[in-house]
Amino acid sequence: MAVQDPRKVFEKVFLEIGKENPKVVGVSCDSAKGAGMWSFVEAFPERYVETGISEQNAIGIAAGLSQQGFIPVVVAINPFLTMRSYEQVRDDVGYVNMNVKIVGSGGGLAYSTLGSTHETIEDIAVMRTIPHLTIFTPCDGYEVEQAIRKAVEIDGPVYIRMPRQGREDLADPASRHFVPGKAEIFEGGDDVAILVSGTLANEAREAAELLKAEGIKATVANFMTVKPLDEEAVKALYAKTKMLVTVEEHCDRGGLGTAVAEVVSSIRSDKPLYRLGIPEGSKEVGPYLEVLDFYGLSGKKIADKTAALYKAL
Amino acid sequence: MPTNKPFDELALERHAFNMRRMICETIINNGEGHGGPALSCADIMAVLYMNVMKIDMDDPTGKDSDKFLLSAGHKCLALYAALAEKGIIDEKALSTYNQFGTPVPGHPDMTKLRGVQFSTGSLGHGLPIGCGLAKAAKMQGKDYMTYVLMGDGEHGEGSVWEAAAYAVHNKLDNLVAIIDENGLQINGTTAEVLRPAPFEDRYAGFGWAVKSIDGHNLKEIYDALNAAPFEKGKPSLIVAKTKKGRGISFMEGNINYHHWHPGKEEQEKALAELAAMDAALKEKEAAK
Repeated sequence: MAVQDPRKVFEKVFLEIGKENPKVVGVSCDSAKGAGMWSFVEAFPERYVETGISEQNAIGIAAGLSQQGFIPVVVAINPFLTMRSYEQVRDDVGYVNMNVKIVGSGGGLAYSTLGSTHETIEDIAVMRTIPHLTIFTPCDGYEVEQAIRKAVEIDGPVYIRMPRQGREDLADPASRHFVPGKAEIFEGGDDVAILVSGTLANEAREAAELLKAEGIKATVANFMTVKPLDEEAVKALYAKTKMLVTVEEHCDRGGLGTAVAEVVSSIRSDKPLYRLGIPEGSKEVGPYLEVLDFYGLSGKKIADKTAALYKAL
Repeated sequence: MPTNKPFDELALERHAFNMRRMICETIINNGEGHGGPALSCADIMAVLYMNVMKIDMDDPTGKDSDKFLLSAGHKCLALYAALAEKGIIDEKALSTYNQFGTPVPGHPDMTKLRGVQFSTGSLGHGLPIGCGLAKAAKMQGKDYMTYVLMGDGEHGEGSVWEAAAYAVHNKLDNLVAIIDENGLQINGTTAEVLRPAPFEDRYAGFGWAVKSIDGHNLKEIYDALNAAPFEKGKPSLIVAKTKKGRGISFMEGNINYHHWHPGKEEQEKALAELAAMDAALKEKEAAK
């Protein structure tokens, strides 16, 4: 499968969107180059709003631009947009349903060499409670393109947790049809369902393959839309399989695993749900895949853990 | 910028009085409210809404109307009173203040009340949003002005200064910030709590064009607002020196009336003072 640099995909698609839609404005917190917005900036300097390193201000400005009919797309490094500006996103975008798109570059452990200030493992937990907000967690080139296109199409606030590392295409792009709010199911049988959001989708599929070799049939469900969550898909997988495992490059509480738990908690059943993620307070630093592996989030370790849990049923 | 009405001091005095009456009656009827802060900015709000802002009455917050943001959202009773005095909302709405389902809660909510440009309440949000509205006007070639009213204590919030820098860098001369400088915040005077330098110096240092006025002198307010932009290519700041609780003797300049819970005695005293103000105004109006 092909590997595409998410930033280059964003660069190409955002320029196309700029040509297609004159309402789209790029709002940068000294981040347009780093985020892949520079081609848009060069093509449409009159639609480039640079705030400097001031994320709270950038969200407020985006809210004002939005009220006047623009579609502002704000880019900055993830934790500064989702957490430093959290209250601006909540008050000035979410509650009041402004048509603002928030693109947080490098969710999860993407900045794994830069330490805990840049690693972002709490964003889904906090953004998930903001009203009206749609959350996309793209994992590959196809999904990055879909995320930004659908975000601009949606009339309302959207948060995109943008990946940084180029990962293999999860599947042949020609075979895929992303629909916001719908999970993508990779059928593999009804022993186990692995529910994944975002950047670990490849690891989840790899784990399913490894489990198959051990005789455990695993279906993978990819939730690129974390909010609104495809609750019907969760319920169907819970009914069909013997256990659920959620996998996410996020704190193991507050993210996808918690969202799935919220859905199944009201279902009378003794089937377990296991949540794989990163413990709170991640401070590990190192090459991206090594840090993922340390937290048990490589395909192999997800498979091992799932197999052990399954055998203990 | 053209004004929507020529200066008429007596008419403005009447509007400001009506607003003070609404503010006090609403708090008296409902038991509590941010009385001191609303009375502090009532004169500024009266001049803005009744004499300065160009407002399309069919679409008061629409794309071509001048914009007003109450960044210090707790002063909302002054905004509600201005909207009622202008005829954008019915004064009767104020009788539901803070009641279940009210369109006029303790902070202004654009999803609940016509005439509210943007929901506010958390301090330090208004100036960034104002920058967005002013920038949008520049980008779209529109001539509406954006006015942002802030408190002095609010300036502890760093987001205010992020926006202050942005407004200068982007030459937003269609943006007017007004500081209702009453010198009081909850824990003490602003001088005691946090006041590194006068606002005039701080904003001028950022590159704003600054005027300092008596925030209860209607002519000074009118002249300053109508002089904006003070310099082409620069955002304008009006530092309005005010008194918290202005108009009601026992509240004026008194730190204890940020949130007013009027007892029976205070209710009677405030209403008596309002009646005396009304009578004095009527005499002036009759003499005219």
